[in-house]
Amino acid sequence: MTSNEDKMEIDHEGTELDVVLPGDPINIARKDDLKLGPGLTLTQDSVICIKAGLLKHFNKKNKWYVESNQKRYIPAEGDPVIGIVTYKGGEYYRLDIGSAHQAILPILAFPNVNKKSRPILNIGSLVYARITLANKDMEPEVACCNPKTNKDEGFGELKNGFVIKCSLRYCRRIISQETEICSLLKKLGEKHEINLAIGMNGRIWIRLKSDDTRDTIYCYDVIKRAENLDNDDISELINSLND
Amino acid sequence: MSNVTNENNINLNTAITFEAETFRRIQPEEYLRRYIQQHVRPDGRSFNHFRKTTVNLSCITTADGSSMVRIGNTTVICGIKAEVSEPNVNFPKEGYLVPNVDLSPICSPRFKPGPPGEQAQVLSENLNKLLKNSRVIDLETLCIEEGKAAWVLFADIVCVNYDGNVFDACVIALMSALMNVRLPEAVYEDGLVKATEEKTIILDLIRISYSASFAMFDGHHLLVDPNEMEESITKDGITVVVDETGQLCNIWKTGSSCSSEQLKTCISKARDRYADITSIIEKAKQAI
Amino acid sequence: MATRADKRSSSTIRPISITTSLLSRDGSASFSFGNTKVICSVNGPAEVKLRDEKLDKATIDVVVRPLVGTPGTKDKTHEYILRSTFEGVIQSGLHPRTQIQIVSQVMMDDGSIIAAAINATTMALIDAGIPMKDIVAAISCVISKDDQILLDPTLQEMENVKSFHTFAFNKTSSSLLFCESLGLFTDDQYFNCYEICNAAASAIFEKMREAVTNKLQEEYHIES
Repeated sequence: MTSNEDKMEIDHEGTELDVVLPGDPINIARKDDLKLGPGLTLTQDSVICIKAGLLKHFNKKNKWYVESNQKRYIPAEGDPVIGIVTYKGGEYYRLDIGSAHQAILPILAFPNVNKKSRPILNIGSLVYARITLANKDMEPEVACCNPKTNKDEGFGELKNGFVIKCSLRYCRRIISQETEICSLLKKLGEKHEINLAIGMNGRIWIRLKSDDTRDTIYCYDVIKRAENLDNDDISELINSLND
Repeated sequence: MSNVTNENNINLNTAITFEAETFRRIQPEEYLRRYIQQHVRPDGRSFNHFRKTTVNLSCITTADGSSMVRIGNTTVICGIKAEVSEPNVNFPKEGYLVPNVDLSPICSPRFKPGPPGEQAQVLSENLNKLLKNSRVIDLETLCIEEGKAAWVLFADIVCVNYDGNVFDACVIALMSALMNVRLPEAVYEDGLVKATEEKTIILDLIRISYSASFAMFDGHHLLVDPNEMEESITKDGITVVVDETGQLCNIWKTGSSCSSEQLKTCISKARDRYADITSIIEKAKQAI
Repeated sequence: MATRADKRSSSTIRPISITTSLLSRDGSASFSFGNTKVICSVNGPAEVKLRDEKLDKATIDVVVRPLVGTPGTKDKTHEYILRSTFEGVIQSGLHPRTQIQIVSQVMMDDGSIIAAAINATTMALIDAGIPMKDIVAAISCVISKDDQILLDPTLQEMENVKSFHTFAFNKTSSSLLFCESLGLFTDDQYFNCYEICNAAASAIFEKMREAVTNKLQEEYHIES
């Protein structure tokens, strides 16, 4: 499952580490068409950092953000997430997506649904959905279909399989199709036919076609092990899989 | 809300108009800010004006020392009860002085019945630290017989009406109550302490210190002696305790940032306040 | 000038060590000044109990656990200090109707506990990625019987002193956020302590930046 966004190249040339801490003022030369991403905020005239991390920017689009890793998920519109059904109502389900508030999944947010034919989800079911509403003052809302095309686009209930919990940054790395991780997954795919769903909320769902427990645990182990490795180490891990 | 100069505010005002009371309830911070812009506080005081402070000494006849202090509508009563106990093994020559502040639901609906809440515990702890660290009383004078018997002074401070700045009221109440403690003369004989009410002794206070509290609004408006409403909005508090020679005994500051100049202002205001409280207490002494 | 028991000069801080992400919580850190160590964990923004819910900002809940025994008034006071110091720094308006829980546990007590607790909390909040408009560093000092200012006192040095001071400063404007001064002191002594602690706080900020940089280098596999 690929992310729709094009892979963005970072044209930030500096080789030195641009570590920022909360409260650090950010010196931005060009003020025109400025776009601030996560970790930055505008106060009166100046831009200040509110999270610790690496300062990144795209020169062409004048986009700035702070790259950081955290465990707690904060919903953002458009993010694919994996949720667990915690409540079943007449109009909607409630999903635990790991954020402060549970997400609402309306019954009508599935393709080809009307009042009579509703999707059947039980408490404890896993659902892959896209966040359609993320606002700090409202409960997040998710949907399992694209309202424009009325297609599921891969979203929906995730049956069987296994959920891996990991850091938010690892999910971002996989979803942005970092080559090394991709080749690792491809390598795994050679041996076992795997269905994979990546939630931006720090959850990865895997299901092997064979549904074999041993192999699933094997795949879990490999994916989990790559979480804290750099690209060289991942290549090494790929090579070790050959044996 | 009539004399609004800011253009934005005028637009807001023409859009919706509120009764002052409604405005206070829904936008307490903005409500206070409008007053501060006019250099006046909602209760009509200027920034540097302390509320009327009164002290009543010996108001509880069953206690060994007592006082009642009012600062505006804030009222606290302090009663000191002396008991005899064995001294701490580590300090066999010393007695005890145990302050305790009680903020019961009687003084404000924001306090719940039951064990003391956070604010009451913080007040008690700060009073205790003040007594201990600035040596208000020599605990050795409370000793009856070394290692055998010593006086324990329980200073119970009850807030009867809560309208902000309880710490100042507590310090004045505690100090003035300590001043009029009359302890019966006690002797230790064969494991028994014999006390005679005929001869009483007055406590020897080494140092008498009073506090002055301030609230900081929007980072640069210093409001002395904040009432409950100002306290709950500003959240930033500075308390300065000084003794009779003008020496500093305690500085306690919480909340958002302040500069050293502001601290200096607080310290000099606390010294002025000390003189005022001294004269108030002198009057109260003559009244008995 | 009399030297201190641990051969430090009067204005030297004990060795600082900072570890982050050591617990499974959203954020955690330990901070130590020599043999004083506080570990702090941060969870949130998480679900809030209905009665603590605030409509316009996050509820900040602080729990302080002492080294031994059950929490008493001293720990309640420390909770109050931590909450009031960080309430103005955390951008709680960005996560309304949620709870940010800070739990601080004393691991070793050799003086300057509250300063270590404030510094550990700053690091744990950074680690959890809680939005903050500034960071805080705290440091204690004492004025000894012979009128010397001793920075970062040990438990032994805190006994029989004229006064004891703890200051917490923010990074951007290095202005005072929290101050507790006890004992007997003059204006000059107080402002001397203020200046010395302010300078020491900037050294602590450097250590904090170093700790964050090291962690990011490790995480992002960047050669230093």
